[in-house]
Amino acid sequence: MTKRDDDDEDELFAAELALRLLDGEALLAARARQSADPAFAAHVSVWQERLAGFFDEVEPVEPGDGLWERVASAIERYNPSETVVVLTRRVGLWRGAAAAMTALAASLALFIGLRDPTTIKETQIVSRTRTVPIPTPVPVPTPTITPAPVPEPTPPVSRDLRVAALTPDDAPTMAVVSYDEAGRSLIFTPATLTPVAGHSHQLWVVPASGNPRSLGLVTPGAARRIAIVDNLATLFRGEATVAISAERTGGSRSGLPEGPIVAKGTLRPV
Amino acid sequence: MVGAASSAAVDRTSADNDRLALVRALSSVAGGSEAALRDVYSRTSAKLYGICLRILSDRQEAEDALQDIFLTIWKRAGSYDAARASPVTWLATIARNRSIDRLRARGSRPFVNLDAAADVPDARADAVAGIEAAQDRDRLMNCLDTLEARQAGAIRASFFQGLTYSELAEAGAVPLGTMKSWVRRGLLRLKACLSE
Repeated sequence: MTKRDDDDEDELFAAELALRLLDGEALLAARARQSADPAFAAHVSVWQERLAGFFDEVEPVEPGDGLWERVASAIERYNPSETVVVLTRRVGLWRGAAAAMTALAASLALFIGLRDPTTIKETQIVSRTRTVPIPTPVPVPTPTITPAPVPEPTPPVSRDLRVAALTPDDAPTMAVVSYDEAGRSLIFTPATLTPVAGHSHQLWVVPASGNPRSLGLVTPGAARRIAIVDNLATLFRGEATVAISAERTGGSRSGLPEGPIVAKGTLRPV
Repeated sequence: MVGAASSAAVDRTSADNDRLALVRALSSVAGGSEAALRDVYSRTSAKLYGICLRILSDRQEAEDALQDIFLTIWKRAGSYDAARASPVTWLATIARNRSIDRLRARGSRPFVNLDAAADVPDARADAVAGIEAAQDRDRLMNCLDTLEARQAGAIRASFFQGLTYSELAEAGAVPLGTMKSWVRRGLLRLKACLSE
């Protein structure tokens, strides 16, 4: 293939993603590339601009009265007072900002501090070094946890913990997954995932190469711990993506995603 | 035609000002200003609602989609990059994507006739949205006219109904590979024409 053919191929792939012509694995591959490859993402944006002429043939229509009030109250509900939202925001921050680690450690310090004043000092130290091990990422710290006495001096335990925020196109995080390599378990925490009538949501791991493998069905509003058996664990090596598809009730019959992918994200170390 | 030229220049400036105001408002939304979101809403809600309605063909569902879209804008305004996309395109693309998500979540597809999709009358003579927008539209429509009708029809059906290759192939009763190569040839042709 010549360079020109490759360029054309990239452009076409970007156009196919912008138009939403793709489904299944091709769609996953295109979205993964869009988030990993800025040149490809730029091609997608250029196609969105090229096609924007279609929008100009749409006549504006005034929405009903009261819609702004609905928007305003949706924002009110969204604004971060809820624990789940806080978690979602944290995961967004984890990707880019060390500040999030400090905030997390600070909230942990506050939490532990409320329970046992003697542990505050240690927690503050780790928060400054920003190497605090992430607590098991269940959505809400359960009040029954008592901080274990830490033998001194204890370097933070190094664990392969990776997190992915599962997001649809242009939309907020639907769910968060964290994968603990040592513990061979995946924790699924839904955020804005909502039920769709007549459908089940199915979780998949999409390895860097090869077919997606089902991790089972997931339910909006219900966190799940999923044990990862040995033959699945190999699929989590490298840049694995986790995706949620909307399948017919009961899930895919073929063992591969049959319905649309509603959200996906790549596991990254935290 | 000095008068027409200067009137076009005025329209152009006014379009630039609108665009700039929208970029600024989005930047304030990213900073958490609800008043700025209200400003974005008053500038764009009719356009975005029109897009939802065109895709979903149901007022109630289009309103639900619009609410969802403004919440998305509230959360994601920080990721808007003015160097990469015009603010209207960015907002309209969110509206289109969220509406198509809803269409797909319905799980059922309306009957699609690709020939009819190709015949959708365009609004070339009906410039309402400012000179710049009208020029963009005319360029796209003129370039679509250079494609075969079935290519233009498939691209349009994908844009407004989110049809995938498989769905287009089914609607056009042609093999998947045939549909793919039609559309891909059409897209390359479209790109060449728009780049002229």
